[in-house]
Amino acid sequence: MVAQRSYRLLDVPIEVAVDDAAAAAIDRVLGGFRSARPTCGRTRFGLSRHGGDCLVLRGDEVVARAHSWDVAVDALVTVVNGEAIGDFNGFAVHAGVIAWGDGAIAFPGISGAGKSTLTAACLQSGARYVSDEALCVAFDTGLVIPYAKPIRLSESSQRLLGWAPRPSDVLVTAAELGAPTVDVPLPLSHLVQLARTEDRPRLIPLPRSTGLADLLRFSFNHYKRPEAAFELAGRLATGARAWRLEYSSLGAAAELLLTLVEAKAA
Amino acid sequence: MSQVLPGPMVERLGPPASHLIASELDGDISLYDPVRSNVHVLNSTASDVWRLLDGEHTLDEVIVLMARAYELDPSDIRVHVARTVDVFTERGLLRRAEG
Repeated sequence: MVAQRSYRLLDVPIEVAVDDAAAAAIDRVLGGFRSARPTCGRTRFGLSRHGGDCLVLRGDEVVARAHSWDVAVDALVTVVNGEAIGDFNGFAVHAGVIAWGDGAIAFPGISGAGKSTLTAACLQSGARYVSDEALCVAFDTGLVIPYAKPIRLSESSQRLLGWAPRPSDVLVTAAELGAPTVDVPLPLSHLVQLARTEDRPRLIPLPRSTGLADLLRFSFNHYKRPEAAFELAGRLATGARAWRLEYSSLGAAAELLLTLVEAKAA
Repeated sequence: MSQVLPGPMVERLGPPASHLIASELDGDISLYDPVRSNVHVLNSTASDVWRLLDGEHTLDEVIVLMARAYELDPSDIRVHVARTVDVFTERGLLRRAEG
């Protein structure tokens, strides 16, 4: 049997035809994006069984093949994440994002920079979840739009977080980390560069122009509306403080970040 | 007493290319070039040089003004200011105004 699932990620409608056997796995990680409204006319995705394989379909095309539903759902999340960010009509920056106090703290950076791991560490230290993937901002309001996709953690990230690691990437939700998810737009208050060192953690203030440069450097889509993106990045950088967080220990870095950011904001 | 060396530079530098969009954050200037889809984020010193490239000043004058502002000898900063202006020019950020 096949069930239909309708989702909205960043207000982008996504429809998935789900083999009943995969329903629990997809509901676990994308349940927060369920939409009651039908998403007619959108690209349809599918999770279906073929022989011993679990397939991820985009229309009729097989885009991934796996040996378990968990792995297939992981691949589907990657695909629909790309679809959502690609179609998002705001300004999107590759970044981990948490909420602390009244504002959002973003860590822009490339894949592998430690965004998801630090995001998870901050959630374990009491922060609220916004995204481990993208800082999404509306052009008109300049506010950060929550994009609480499941957090992808590699084996090494799991180890750094002090978990007994599984030998592959895992997707975890904020709820599974015991952290609340932000569900309303909020202002950006801090932009943080991540830098690994062997020394004890330090939070170093940077010029706001560094924040502007990072927002544009790590943007997914500034080229679509370049002048508006430059203007918005300037507004965001003006309203936020810029920092470089140098760290080796994740837990200590998260505590330092949240403590100092709170002190500076006071 | 300081003096600018060597010989006279009479070409006036700038003004900025008309298509650039500028933004200033805490005194640091950022420039968006929509023609090349580039963003240039200037540090505070480069921002000060940029402000002087208004089509009214020669390189020598810019060096003297920067030296005065930073309380340095012009001969000590000449190569750095000239290099900064060269980078602006190479990146198409300036129009040339002949003096």
